Amino acid sequence: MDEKKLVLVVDDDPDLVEAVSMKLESQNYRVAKAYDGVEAWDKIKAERPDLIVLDVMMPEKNGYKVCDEIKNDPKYKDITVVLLTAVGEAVPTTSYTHMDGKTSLADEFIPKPVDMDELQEIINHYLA
Amino acid sequence: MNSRRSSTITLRDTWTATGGKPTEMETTGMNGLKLSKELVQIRFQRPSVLVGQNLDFLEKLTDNKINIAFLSWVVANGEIQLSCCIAPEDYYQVLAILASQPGLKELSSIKPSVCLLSLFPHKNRLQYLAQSLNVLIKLNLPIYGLASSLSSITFVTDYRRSHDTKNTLKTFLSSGL
Repeated sequence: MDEKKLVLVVDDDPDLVEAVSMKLESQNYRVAKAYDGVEAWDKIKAERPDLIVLDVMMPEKNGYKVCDEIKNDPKYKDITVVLLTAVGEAVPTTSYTHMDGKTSLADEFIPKPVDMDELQEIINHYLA
Repeated sequence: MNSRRSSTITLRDTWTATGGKPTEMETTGMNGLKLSKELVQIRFQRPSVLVGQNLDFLEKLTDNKINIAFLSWVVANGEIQLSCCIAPEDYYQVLAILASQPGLKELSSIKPSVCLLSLFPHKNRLQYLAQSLNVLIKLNLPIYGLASSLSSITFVTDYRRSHDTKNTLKTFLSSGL
């Protein structure tokens, strides 16, 4: 059995998924990738991740909804969820804000643009 | 730069549409498509000694919080070719910025109704670029620009034909390449 922890990275920005994955793989984590909320659930069911890095603004199903579904599912509610929330000022067209994120059931929130060291620190904290 | 004005389509539906038969692209894993909303492309070319003015132009876009969905900066033969894509609603503001630099508006060419078609993840496999180009050329889709990033190969193409994109991709996947 592989002892490396599995992190699922979910974002509709493929470059961000790749950047986060590279960082995590360099830190000896296994990484699964998904590009929307629906695909995220496919990956969760295929292999339960130890932690999920989840973008908020995604097509099909946004990160808040995916997070709420995870946290309300007895089988998966213990998975740590780190939400990536866009700061309203940086993306003025968005209807989501960091305040919205604070009302969700996520374990942690990180504003975008993502500080990789901060993200790494949070993941290490939960998976150590 | 962010790409928040876009939507992602995964290709699982397309696989189903092609009978669920795994294709080369599926098995090798470049199975994502991202298609932006309608954009406007602005291009200009001027001597590379004017690099500072080009940077000023880009700075003014960012100062005005104009999202640059695509940016290409090519230096060749002593000239800089700059191409950027912005949302239609920012167009008049960008025109004003162009007009604020002497001679720049006259050097610029504007192409309305373009969009970004991104395929991912490319996993640093150069053959994906060739395969993607080959498919777009076969389908006579115009290519106004292309770039690769950490995970994506992105083409600037005709927005008016973007509704054909699903069909394009069905062809892309079912062709076996």
